[in-house]
Amino acid sequence: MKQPRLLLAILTCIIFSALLISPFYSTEAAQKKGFENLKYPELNPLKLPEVEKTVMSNGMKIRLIKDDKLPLVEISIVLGGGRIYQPSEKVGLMSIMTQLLTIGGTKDLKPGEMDKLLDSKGISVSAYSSSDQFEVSMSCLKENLDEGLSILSKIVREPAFNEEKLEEIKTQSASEISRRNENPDDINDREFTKLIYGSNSPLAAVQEYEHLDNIVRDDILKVHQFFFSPDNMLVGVTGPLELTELKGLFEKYFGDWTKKTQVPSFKGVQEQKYDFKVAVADKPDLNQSYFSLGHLSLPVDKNDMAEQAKIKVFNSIFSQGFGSRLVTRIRVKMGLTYGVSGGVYFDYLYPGVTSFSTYTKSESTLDAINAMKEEIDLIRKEKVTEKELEDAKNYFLNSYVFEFRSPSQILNKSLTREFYGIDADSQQKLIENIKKVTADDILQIAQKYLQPDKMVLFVVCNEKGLKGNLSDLGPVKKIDISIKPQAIKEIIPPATPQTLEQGKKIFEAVLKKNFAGYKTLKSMTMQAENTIVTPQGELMMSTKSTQLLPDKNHVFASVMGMNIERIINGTKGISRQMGQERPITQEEIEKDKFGDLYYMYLEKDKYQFQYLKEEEIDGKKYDVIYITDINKNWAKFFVNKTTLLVDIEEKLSNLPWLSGLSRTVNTEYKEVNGISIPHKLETTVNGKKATQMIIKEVKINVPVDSALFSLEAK
Amino acid sequence: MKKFFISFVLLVVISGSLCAGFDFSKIKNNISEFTISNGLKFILLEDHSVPVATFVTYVNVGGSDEKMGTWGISHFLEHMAFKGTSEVGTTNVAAEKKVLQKMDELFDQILAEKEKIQPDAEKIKKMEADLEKLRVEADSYVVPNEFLNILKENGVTGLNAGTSKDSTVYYYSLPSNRIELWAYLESARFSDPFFREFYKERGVIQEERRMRVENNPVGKLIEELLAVAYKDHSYHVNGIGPMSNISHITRADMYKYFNENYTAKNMVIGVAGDVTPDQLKKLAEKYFSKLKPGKRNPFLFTDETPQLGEKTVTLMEENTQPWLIIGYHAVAVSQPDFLKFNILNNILTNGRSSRLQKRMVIQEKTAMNVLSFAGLPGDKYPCLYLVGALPNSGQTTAKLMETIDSEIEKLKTEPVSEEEMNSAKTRLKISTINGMGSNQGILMSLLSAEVKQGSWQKVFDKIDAIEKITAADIQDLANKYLISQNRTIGRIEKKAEVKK
Repeated sequence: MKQPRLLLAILTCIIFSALLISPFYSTEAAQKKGFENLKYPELNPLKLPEVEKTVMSNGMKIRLIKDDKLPLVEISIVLGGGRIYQPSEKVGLMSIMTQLLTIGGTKDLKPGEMDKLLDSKGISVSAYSSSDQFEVSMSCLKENLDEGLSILSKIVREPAFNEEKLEEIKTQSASEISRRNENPDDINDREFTKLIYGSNSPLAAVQEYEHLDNIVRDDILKVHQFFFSPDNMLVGVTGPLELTELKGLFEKYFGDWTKKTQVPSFKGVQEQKYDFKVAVADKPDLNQSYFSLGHLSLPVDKNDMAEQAKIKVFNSIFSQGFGSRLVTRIRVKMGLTYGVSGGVYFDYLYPGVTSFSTYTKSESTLDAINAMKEEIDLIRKEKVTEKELEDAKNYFLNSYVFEFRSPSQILNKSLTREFYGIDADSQQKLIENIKKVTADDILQIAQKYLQPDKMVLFVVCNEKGLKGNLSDLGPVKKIDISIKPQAIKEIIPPATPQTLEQGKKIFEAVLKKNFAGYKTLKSMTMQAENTIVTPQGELMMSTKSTQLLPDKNHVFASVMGMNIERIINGTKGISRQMGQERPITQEEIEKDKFGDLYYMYLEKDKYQFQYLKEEEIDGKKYDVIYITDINKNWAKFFVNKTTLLVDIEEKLSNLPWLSGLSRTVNTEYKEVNGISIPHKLETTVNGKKATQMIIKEVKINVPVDSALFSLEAK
Repeated sequence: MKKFFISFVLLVVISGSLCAGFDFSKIKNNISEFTISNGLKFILLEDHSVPVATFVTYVNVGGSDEKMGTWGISHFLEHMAFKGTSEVGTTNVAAEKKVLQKMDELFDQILAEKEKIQPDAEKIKKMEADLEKLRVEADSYVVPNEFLNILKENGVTGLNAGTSKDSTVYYYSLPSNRIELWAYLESARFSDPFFREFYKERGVIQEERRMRVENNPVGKLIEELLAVAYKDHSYHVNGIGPMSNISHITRADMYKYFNENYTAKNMVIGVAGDVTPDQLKKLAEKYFSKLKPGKRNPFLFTDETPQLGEKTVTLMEENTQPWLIIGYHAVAVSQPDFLKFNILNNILTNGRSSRLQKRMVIQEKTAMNVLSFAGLPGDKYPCLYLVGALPNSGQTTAKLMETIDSEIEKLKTEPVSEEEMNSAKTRLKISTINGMGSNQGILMSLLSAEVKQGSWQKVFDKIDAIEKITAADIQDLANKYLISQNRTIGRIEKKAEVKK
């Protein structure tokens, strides 16, 4: 949980509000009351500040409203982007990128230095990823503007995306995942959104631990590289300064940034189909149920202010605030809740959601749901009263002045219009259209935009505490909200001379008992059948490998009718497939070697063997050894205390399509020439099946033709 | 006098001697105040840039003023204050009164029956059914939400209210030409409130308690922490009150509480925006004179006596990750040390260069986040200074406690560096300046200072006061307050996994 939200969580425990939402509703009044006789003078004229505009040669658009009230400058950069461009296997990539922007340092400033600098000058920088935008903001005292902009430009143009800081964010994100079921309001929001857009849609996808594992620094660099371009930036500034000064500073820090990009249009969403009416998540520790009812919204043209005016008035009458149908019924008349929310909502780049939500004690859940449904039916059947209509319209007309309350509010609305391509006079057009809305219009809107047959209901509650049955509302689907456990990331205690000695001793005992044959090992051939689980499905691969120790290796593999040849000769290597050749780097060769018992035997001193602990798994006792080399590669060997065989190995997966914790279980050990070789190796990554190897034949020290390892082209 | 003041300010600005601080004169010069005959004080902040006005009624009553049996009544009353008057919200107040009187009598009987050693469940059931019938009858005279509706159709924005242990505050904004409507309605509801829809609203408050406390892990923790930390002072009861009291409050209780506490001298009204002093004075005298003078409630005399030993409360939860919060007994906002705690926040947990964030969140990654806060559950009386941390997955509160302890020890033994002090002070100054960005924000600060510190002018002393605080002050603060016998530790721990 981010710090401001954390503090808010505490504050809402000590301040209790009456209303939660702003008020509406009306009814017929019998006779004129005192306040109805009040006469009001004309409203003083509204002086609108000017939005000054300029465009830099590199495409960056700058908009300024001068504001002398405080000696503070606020700058907000808005970019096209956001979650809608996120790949489904990397949920959270966009928001991790924006988080890392501000804490990951820049080319010149190490993260710690930047933190200190920002704090000492009271300059605050924040970055945020929404569903269809990125936003980077900076606020500072006017006297620090040059420095503030300098830092902002570095963050935007050359962020370092420090790897350690990425780990920090991932750790926090992992903790957030583990806490995501603490608040029933969040569960309601999240699960309902998944139902509407589909759980794989970028608009709804929820981050799991495996997504964190899939996100690497390279991904972040690519996203930043693509979206962060001056021609994709709209900048809004308020503060006590002139456009000339602002222009000068932007020229100074962004003038030489020439880059172009083209943000693609969003493909859109797929309307979901349901074979159920009610989705329920059971949470036995609740005494209050939270629920949402609704469906995907029909699209609304962003410049159709006539239609938007009708929808706005409808929402005000039906579901927004006091006096609205839903609040009056469920909160005021029935006393069943403290808050009701919802409405017909539309977005600009994708369909919005039409939905209504509330919460109530377990026993009254079905009453509240039924009341909500009744109100939906009623407003689709009968016209609203003239008083309801007039009061709603009057509200918008009389509160219009508040849309222009502060320079930053005015600027934000202007930027929004510009970003989405909404007409500049849309605010005025909206108000004019609101004046024209009729009760017939409201009925039309209700019938068009509320489709009860299409609505789906999501409830999170203590099912046992309900009075009555959810199945009375239609077919019920159970939703499992449990959090898939994380691959265990253990904290390894620092090594001590004792644990290092103990570890080495065990290692040597293993070698002595089961690998005495290593001393005389010269060559080895092996035939195996492999099963590999890829995103495309399970593949079968046969391999035939020949090794001439210590550093020559030839593998011939056959998969899906395709042949692959891989040759390592010393520090060089080559891979051949479908007539194409690719060199194998020394680095890859070294990395491949890690984890192999033979190389640990051969170059013992390059490794550190740290004894961790004793562990019992499925009735067998193991000594767990933590092995590392100078390149910070690590592996965990689980040595069977009885057989002194390595039954289980853990390390970081080196499969190109799957990252995470790899765990190999070795079984069917057979001794061949003094070497114990497991004939079945089953590997899982993050708990899921990844590969399986079954060895058909092993031969030790047979003669091998060294020409096999030639790297010459054929 | 005014002219002299303006030219003096200009002189100072020109001579550039206000470098380190912020020139508040622009705001200060636009503030005026007056008190009408019954003792009700008005504070006005003029701002004619936009034709809107914001109104804040600050009542000097909150959870601390309550007694056992009617805990939660301040908050309940706040809800009731939106239900109208004998004119607003009804079609026939005389008929309504008759039915409500019957309801009140019946409810008293229900309570009396429930209090018997062997209550007659059947009798209670019947009486509750009768109460419901009467409620439907009473409802027939109600114009639902009329008070809110009138404001709505006149363009009200930002309408809400809040009850804390210290105060009850009501606020909203209207287009500035509607100021007379505000005066009419606000003076009406605070001189002649009618507590209608009382029995239904009780249900809403019960739901609110469920939402904020019973179904909210941190809400539960705070409630327990306060209960344990305070033994004498009424800060030990959660503001919303326990369910037993919420269920027991009667309309008679509420009228009594209203009459005792919602008096002219016990509230202050703030107005900001496109309004002139003349305008406001005329309306104040015309509409608000009818409020009874009453008296300004004195500060409570029951002090919290010093805590003698460390206290702990631990909640075992099945489906919640661990939480750790520590409450140290601190001071009220009127005391000079309070501001030092605000500086300490910036040294300890706010900002990535702060001590606990740097060590626990960034370097050691033991905490997901850290926080500190002066003012739990209020600040009119000596509050708790809260330091808290959320462990990352797999981390324990014990580990976090150890780290926090070691960092607090450092604060006691070594003075904070000059760099850290300047950084902390600068950020506090900037957030104070930021707080002056909205008229409503300024009004809230002014009214709060007026009541809790004796004068709204104190708001403008803050920047200078911040400047004067030294590293030695922080070290003394740590040694005086951040000691283990002075603290209450609150934890949420995960219940041991049960094999299914």
